[in-house]
Amino acid sequence: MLHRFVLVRLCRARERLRESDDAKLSISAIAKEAGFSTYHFIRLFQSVFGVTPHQFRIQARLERAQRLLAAVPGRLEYKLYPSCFTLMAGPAGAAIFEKRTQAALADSSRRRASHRSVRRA
Amino acid sequence: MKIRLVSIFVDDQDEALRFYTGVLGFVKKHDMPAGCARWITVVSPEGPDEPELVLEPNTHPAARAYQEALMKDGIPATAFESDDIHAEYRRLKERGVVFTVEPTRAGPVTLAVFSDTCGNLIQMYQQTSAPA
Repeated sequence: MLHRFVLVRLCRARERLRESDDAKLSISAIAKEAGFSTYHFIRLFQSVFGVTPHQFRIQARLERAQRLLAAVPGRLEYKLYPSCFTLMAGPAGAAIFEKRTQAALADSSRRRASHRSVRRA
Repeated sequence: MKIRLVSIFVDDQDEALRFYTGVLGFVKKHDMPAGCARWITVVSPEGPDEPELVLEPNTHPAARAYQEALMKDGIPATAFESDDIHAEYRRLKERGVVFTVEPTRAGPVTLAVFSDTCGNLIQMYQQTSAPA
């Protein structure tokens, strides 16, 4: 059984992984900080969170990059962002979301095409 | 009005679908594109007419913060009922599921808590005495 205290240590280690850069803080250093051997940490992390610490770190980095993109107003990602909540969708709503996404994509590629033609002119 | 949908945030919809069907044994009911994510629901094979569980992407920062705070404090995101919690516990253990609480008597129920590998703790319970 995973003791409550161990779970808290794992959750903290996950936060450290998200915040830190692998060049500055290695997985084994994080494991050590949390009081685990590297092997035990990797195994435990994967069985609780579904991914290895390394995979988690890569995902976190990608998400950071996506957030930065989304923060730029007018970007396609910004428009798509609210639709990531699907609960209110339901089977009918899902179709509406999908249509809206396709429309946003089409709109964005049209805009990109017109930018290109302006640049060419 | 009826309660037909309940939702749970997951950090990876593919992985969640794999866990909730392949490991827990629920059955996929819907899987359709919904914007940048998918609208995925699963149902229990024991009661396909019961509410559907929506595997909701946690892409919104508030969803993630909520999930992480619950997990850190050991609080389950939701609960599922079992008719034989000890058998279910053994079955899930064999499939590599990590429990934070092993089957424990708590008043009128026996409960256990496990990680769903998608960012949540899930409680499973069995009514051990007649409900009030």
